[in-house]
Amino acid sequence: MQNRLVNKQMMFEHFAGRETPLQKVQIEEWLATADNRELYFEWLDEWENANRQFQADEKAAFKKIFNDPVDETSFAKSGKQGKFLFSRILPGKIVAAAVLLIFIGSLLFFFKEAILYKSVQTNFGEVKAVKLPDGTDVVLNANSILRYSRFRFSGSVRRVLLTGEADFSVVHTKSNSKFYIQTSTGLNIQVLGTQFTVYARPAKTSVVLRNGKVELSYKTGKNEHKVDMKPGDLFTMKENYRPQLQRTDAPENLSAWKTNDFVFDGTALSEIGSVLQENYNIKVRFIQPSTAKRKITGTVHANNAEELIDVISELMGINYKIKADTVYFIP
Amino acid sequence: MHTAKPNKNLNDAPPAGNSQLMSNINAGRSEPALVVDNEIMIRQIISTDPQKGCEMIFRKYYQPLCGHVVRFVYSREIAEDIVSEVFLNFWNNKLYDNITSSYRVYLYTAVRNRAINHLKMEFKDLNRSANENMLSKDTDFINPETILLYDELFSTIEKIVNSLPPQCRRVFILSRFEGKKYKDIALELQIKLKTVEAHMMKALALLKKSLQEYLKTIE
Repeated sequence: MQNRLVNKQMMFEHFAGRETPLQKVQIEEWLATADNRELYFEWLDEWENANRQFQADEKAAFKKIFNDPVDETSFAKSGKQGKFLFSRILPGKIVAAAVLLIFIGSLLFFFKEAILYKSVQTNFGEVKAVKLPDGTDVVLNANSILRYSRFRFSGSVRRVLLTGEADFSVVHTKSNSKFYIQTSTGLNIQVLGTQFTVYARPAKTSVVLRNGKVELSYKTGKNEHKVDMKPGDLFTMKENYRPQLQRTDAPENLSAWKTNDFVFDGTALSEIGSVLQENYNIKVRFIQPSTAKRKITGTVHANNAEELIDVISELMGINYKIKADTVYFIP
Repeated sequence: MHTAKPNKNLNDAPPAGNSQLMSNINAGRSEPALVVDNEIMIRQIISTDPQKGCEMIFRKYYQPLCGHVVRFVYSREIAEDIVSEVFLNFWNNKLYDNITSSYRVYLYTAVRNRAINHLKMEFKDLNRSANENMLSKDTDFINPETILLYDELFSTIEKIVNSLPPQCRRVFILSRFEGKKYKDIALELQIKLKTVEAHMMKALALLKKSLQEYLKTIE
């Protein structure tokens, strides 16, 4: 039955909750066809635009969704790149354009050399150990890619490319050849022979050194910076913040994931949300936003995401529900 | 009303549980997508420059979608989270290639489903063994009866909030909508913290009672 009575005026009354019961019936019949459903949403959109509830933070959301550089490369073939709802506050500033500039440079580099590089990749929730041709041991954390030159690795220059997180035990070669790590986030690391952990994810880049000596280099705008690290140093770089070099008493905590351990030291639950997202591709939703700010301290052993979520919920006394790829913490 | 002729898939209600908004990704898109007037330009741009096209979609729909979702969840932060996640999903998984309805229909449907899921998680009495099948996927088709039920739901929420005693309503909006902490509200309104808590308990109890009825009828 063609319903000629339903029009925009009536729908606007309906959205405002002012329609009559008869009109409701007419609207329901009218909604039976796809054409009308399109119209319904067109009018709903118009009505929402005319009755704004509040000004949402469009800029921040836009940034999170579209300015994630890793999305645009051959890197992103493995798994989904997550969203970063919560960021730690650090002082200082990096020019955002610099990261993009270096990234574009890397992109061209990778396409050209795609054939010459061997790729090792981990899925979400997977940790993989790799031995490079020179004997260097690398442990790759979840959702990460390591690439190295197939043919020229044991020569005078050893170069690898990393997206994600990995722990390195680089062997010292007789010819003293340098070992270079190029990360997807624009930080380059040069080592002689040493043990350290690199974390190169979109939201943050960090390097912590256990033994030996490394030299870092990165660009801000046109300026190249170099930083020398000694054991116990922790270097962190985040978009829009000045890079930081700190000391840590326990550098091995940042590679605890190698043995499925998680070390939390006044860590906000929101950060754990990032871990779940990055390493397991599980989205985290806090029914009460204030729960995300609660802090946890301690070492947790968990072989998979479910175990981690379970332990956290017990420690913090909160409930959770898992649906498909999302965990809801309640309250 | 000017719309392109719809393809066969979209006419009339599909069997329950069928996703009509997305064609089978494996089979590829065999019929032309429904293009509505004010999305014609966006569709053209997406075919040559997906990122620019998606950015345009974002700019066009982000605000009204947030406004719509907040009518259900009554929290600015949660509304923005839900809408952001839908866009992120849309962009990261290249959903624009496979949507046969307008982007508008897909986006509003997806955020509605997520908003209702959120309300179910929050207000329904779910026990541990209750399964995740109670929650909808982004692309789950909403039939006319349910569309109206959802509409009635957000109207009811608004009516309940408006019927709260003035101070109670003020507290509720500051806490729930604005996300302010109880102690900050107490300070701002110059009342005791316990009073704030009492107001919130009252408002939430009222809402929970009404919502549970609705949420029972929605599956």
